[in-house]
Formats: sequence, C-alpha cells, structure tokens
Amino acid sequence: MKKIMDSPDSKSEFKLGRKLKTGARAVVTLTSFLGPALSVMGIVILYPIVEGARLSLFSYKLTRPSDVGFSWFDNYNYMISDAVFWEAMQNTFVFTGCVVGISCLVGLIMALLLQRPLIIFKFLRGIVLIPWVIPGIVIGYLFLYMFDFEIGIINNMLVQSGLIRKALPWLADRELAMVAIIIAHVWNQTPFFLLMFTAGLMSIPEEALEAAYLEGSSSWQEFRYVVFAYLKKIMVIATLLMVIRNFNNFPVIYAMTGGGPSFSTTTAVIYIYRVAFERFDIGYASAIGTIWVLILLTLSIIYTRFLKDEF
Amino acid sequence: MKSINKFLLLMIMTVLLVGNAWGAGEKEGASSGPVVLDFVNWATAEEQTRIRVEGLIAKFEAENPGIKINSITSGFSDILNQLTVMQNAGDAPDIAQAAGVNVSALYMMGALEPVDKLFSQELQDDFFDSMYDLLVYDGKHYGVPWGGASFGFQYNRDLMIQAGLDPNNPPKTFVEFQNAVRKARKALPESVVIMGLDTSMRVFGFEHNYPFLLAADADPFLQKPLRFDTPAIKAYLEWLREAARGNYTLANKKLGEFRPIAAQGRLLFMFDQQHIKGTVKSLNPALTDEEFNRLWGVVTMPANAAGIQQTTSADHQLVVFKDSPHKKEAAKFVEFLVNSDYAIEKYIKVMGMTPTKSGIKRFPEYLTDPILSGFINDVIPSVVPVPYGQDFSELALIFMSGVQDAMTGNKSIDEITSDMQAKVERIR
Repeated sequence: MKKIMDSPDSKSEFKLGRKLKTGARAVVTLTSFLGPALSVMGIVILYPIVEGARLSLFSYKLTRPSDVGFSWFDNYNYMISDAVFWEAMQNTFVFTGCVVGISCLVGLIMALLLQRPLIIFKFLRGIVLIPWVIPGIVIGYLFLYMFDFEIGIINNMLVQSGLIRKALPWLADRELAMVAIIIAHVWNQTPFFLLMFTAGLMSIPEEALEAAYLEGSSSWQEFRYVVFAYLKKIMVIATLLMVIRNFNNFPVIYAMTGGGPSFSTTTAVIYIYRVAFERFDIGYASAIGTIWVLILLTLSIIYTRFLKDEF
Repeated sequence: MKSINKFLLLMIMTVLLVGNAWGAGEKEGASSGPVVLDFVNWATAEEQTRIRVEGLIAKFEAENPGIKINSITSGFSDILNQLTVMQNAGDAPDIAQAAGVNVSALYMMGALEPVDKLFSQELQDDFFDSMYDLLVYDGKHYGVPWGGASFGFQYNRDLMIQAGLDPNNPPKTFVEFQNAVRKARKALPESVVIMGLDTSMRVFGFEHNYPFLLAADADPFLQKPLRFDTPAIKAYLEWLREAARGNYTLANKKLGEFRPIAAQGRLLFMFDQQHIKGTVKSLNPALTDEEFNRLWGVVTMPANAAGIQQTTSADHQLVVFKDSPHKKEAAKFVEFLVNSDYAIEKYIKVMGMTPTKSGIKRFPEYLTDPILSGFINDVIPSVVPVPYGQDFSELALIFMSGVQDAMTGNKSIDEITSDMQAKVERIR
C-alpha cells in the first residue's frame, strides 16, 4: 500500500487531488460569500434592466390589454419624432449642467473660505452641511412654498428690498420655473462639493504650499498651480457623480413644478414617470428608460475609469 | 472550514425561518383567522378624514368580528399609480377608493368586478342616477358612489357686492360669467383672486375645466376624429390667457390651493365640490356654519349658448377588484361605508358629501343646509359624464399642457392648438 502511495504517478494524483480539493473549497467559499449578494443584485438590478429592455420592444399600454404585442423598434421610432422627449432631454442637460456647475463653483469658494483653522469656521462648515442631509421631498415642498407667488418668502424679500416691484410667478412662468428648481438644487447640493473640496484641501501637503510660498508665488498662482492641481481630480469625480445623480433627479422637481408649466421643467425621469403612470404606456416608458440606462451606463464607465486612474 | 460550515448553516436556518414565518402569515390570512380585506384609500392620508375613516373601520370590525380591514393609505393624486402597480404585480387589493378617471382606467385594465350582482337592487336604486350611472361601462356598473362631489359654482356674496355685482343673481351663462370676472377685477383689490380654476397639468385639472369647456361650447371630445384646434377651443384658450395675464386667477394652481384663499375671504368665484364648507371651515376655524351660509352661495355651472347648464363630478367612489378572493365580505364593507347610518353621520355628512337618496331622508339636515341643498337641488341634476376612454388621460394631459402654454407662455394660440392637434394625431 505504501509503495503505491510513494509511486510518482500516485504523488502527482495526490497533488492534483489536493489542488482540486483546494479549488473546490475556494469555489464553495466564494459562492457562499458572493452568491447571496449576487443573487439579490441580479433580482433587484439586473432583472428590471433586462425586463425593461424587453418591454421596450412591445406595444404595451395598460389601458389596452388586448392590444399588447411585439412591435420591434416602434417605440424607438416614436421616440425620435416625439418633441416632448427631446424637450425633456434638453431640460435635463440644462438643469444638470447649471446645478452641477453652480454647486461646484459655490462649493469650491465656500471650502476655500471655510478652511481657516478657526473654531467659528469649523462650526460654519458643520452648519452648511445641513441642506445635504434633508430628504428631496422635504426640499421640494420647502422651496415650493418659498417660491409661492402669493405667500412665498422669496417674492417678499425681493419686493421689500426693492429689487422687483411686483411679485414674480416663479413656478408659473416657463423660464422662472427652471431657475427656481435650479436654485433649490444648488442649495441642496453645494454642501456635497464643500465636503469633497474640504477633504481635498486637507490632503494638500504643507511642503507643497511652503514651497510655493518660498518661490514667491502670488495667492492666485498658489491656488492655480498648487491647490487647484490637487483638487482637479476630486472635482472631476465629484462632478461626474453629481451629473449622474442629477440626471436621475425626481422628487424636488416633481414636488415643485410637476414638470410644468407645460413641459418646461420636465426632465427625462419625470417624462418616463408621466408616460408610465399617467399615459400607462409601459412599452414607450421602457424604451425611454432603456436609452436613459445606456446614457447613465456610459457616464458610470467614465466615472469608474477616473476612479481607477486616481486611486 | 468550520467557519464556512457555520456560515452555511446560519444561512440555511435563516432561509428556513423566514420561509416559515412567511408561510405562517399567509395561512393565518387565508384560512383559520378572520378575513382580511385590503382597502386602498386616500381618506386616511388626509388629516381631516383619517380619524373619521379609522372610526368607521373600527365600528365595522366591531360589528363584523370575522372581517378585518387592512387600510392602505395613498395620496389622492397617487392612488391610481398605487393601484396600477398593485394590480400589475398580482397583488390587487379587495376594495379601493376612487374618483374621476380612476374607475375607467382600472376598468380598462380589466381590474374591476362589476358590482350589479354584489349589491341588492334596493341599494342600487337608492343611488342618485346621475352619480351611479357615471360608473357604467359596457352596460355594467363597476363601482358605487361613496359620496357625491360634483363641481358647483360658489360665489362670495360680500365680494360680489364690493365688485358691484348682484349677490342674489350670480352669472347664469358663460358670457355673463366672463363679463362678471372682468368687472370684478377692475373693482376689487389685487389681493383678491377672482376665480379658482385648477390649471395644473393633471387629469383632474382637465376634469375641473370640463364644465367650462361645455359652457364655452368648446368640448374637445365632441368631434370625431378629435379636433383640439377648433375655433371654440382657441377662444377658450384666449380666455385663459386673458385670465392669467389680467390676474383673474393664479396659473398652474391646483383646486386645493385656492381653498386657503377662500378661507381667508379673498376668492370671489370658486368651483368646488360638496365638501367645500367642511374644508373651508377646517382651514378657518373661526368661520361658523351660519357665517359660511351667509357668505357663500351655490348654484350650478354657467350655461352654454343654448342655455344648457352642465357640470361634472369627481364623486368619491368605491370599487371591488376582480382578483379579490373575498368579494362577499368586500361588498358588505362597501355597503356599510355608503349607506349605514353610522357612516353617513360620522363621515359622509360631516364631509359635506351627498349620500344615497334614503340617506338624505334619514338625515334631514341635507335639505335644510343651504349649501348641501344647493348641490342636491341644483348641481347634481346637471351632472353629465366626462367622456373617459382608453386614451383619456393622454388627451387630457395634452389639453392641459396647451392650457399651461396659453397661460404662461408667449406662443400664439394658433401655434399652441396646432401643437396640441399634432400630439392628438400621434397617439397610437
């Protein structure tokens, strides 16, 4: 028996067996750890995306249950000539561009102003973070009343200060409504940028700033060539993250304007909601949703690439 | 290895425990315990009605120990979405509160049970025809009225006097109404809102405008194929543009947003439902019943050129779902809600809504209260159905987007109606 075990063939078989055993054990371990999470993700993330893409190829109106059927790319053809869809896309890009751009700029300025090591600034930094933690729906109603034509504090302040003579119909005017929802979102999202930039500022090595000082650089040069250089990548990542978030923004806009007046503040996600739950056109809503997933997926890939390069 | 075994064992036990608990829960509801009825409603979402409806449920459960009511709250504007999702997820409730377009949409989804065989003929004969017949599709009734809520024409007598209008002679035709609005705007201070018309981009917004569209002979559903660019519709949109630019009303507002203004005595004309008195009084507790009755008058909507006065209704209704396994018990609860003395006294009457015909006889206040009797004698008889159909929601939203364009934008009315018509023709 011992001889058999000692033969070269049996040794390699034994090693192979051990390898297989170790491999099988690793598979069991990986499956038991990753399996539940992957199953849940598959059910709650992957299945809706696949099902949405499948439904987008169907003519599927809930109020016409007898007319449900495969319709190839009809929904996508309809989308190309749907003026409201393009208006919603335009609104989404304008809204997101303005909110992210302004929030980023204001966040950067505030981070620079509040970086001094004084207690009061630390306290202020805590205070200005509050808007970030307020739920979207609360922000929506808060600003709905603040911008109210009759009782809103914004009109009251503007009239009192003499900046305007008559109250403005903020939420009933096509252009002003967009301005109002942008202001509400900037208020909400500036703290996020402030947080990111503050973290970035804290990570700048003292030596780099000292070197710039010894080189006799001006404040602007110090900011441009040292501070900004360190913040640039954080800025790109934070901006991309907020672009994705704002592309999906729903509660504040829906609470404030419902996408109106007419379709002037209707963004892509609000349009998807309206098509699905007011027109009950599930097939068309799925088609818009599928396109939207592709756009967001592209942005997510860019985002992860940046993360990979950075860290 | 031991730790992995422990982990796997823990997972298996968790799955078994959860599965067991789930199964046990299902069994309880299905066989041995009381019948549980899922009741989706917005009444428990609103503070002023929540306690009352919870009281009704408690009373019914006390009288029927074998039935439990699981009240599922949803906001008024969201209830159709909630029901659509539940129905399509295979989790339809037993009963739901509905209004306006909800019943037709759910009927078209194939979600509802006809109620003709669920209730006695006596009860069905007890409903006002103009309310019960709003629920007929393909010759069958798909719901019952819980409380009449038709749109009436309310006028503030004090403001009419201030505006130089006769408080005993409110406008009877659409033209008289337009002239009264123009005259009042000139006479009344800017803080007074002349008319409370819902111009929000909702199906309800269209339903609220529909009596005025009928009065202006501008019914967009009149012609087949549909035309949203008729001269009458253009004239109606011109009128709304004048109303927004001339500050007769506040654009993009919901009906409910005019109620606080009415409660402050700053609204001249409003077009609200039977429960207006209860709602306004809840917003202004200092307002007594007597003062409200003195201040506000109620008639039906202004007449069209042919002298016909018509209005619509967004009655609160109750529907039973086709997939309900407990239709008999559901019908029992519905009958309790619509016609028991307790429900009429504690909810329907308090809310100012109209009950069954026999309910009105059992509670004579309905005929002595000037607001309620105004609705019963003048408004309800003039109710006509809204032409709900398969594409109604889409068409209503196209129309309301045109209304908002007219009121808040600068595009010409011709351009707006052309856009509307193009959208109508694109409906598949």
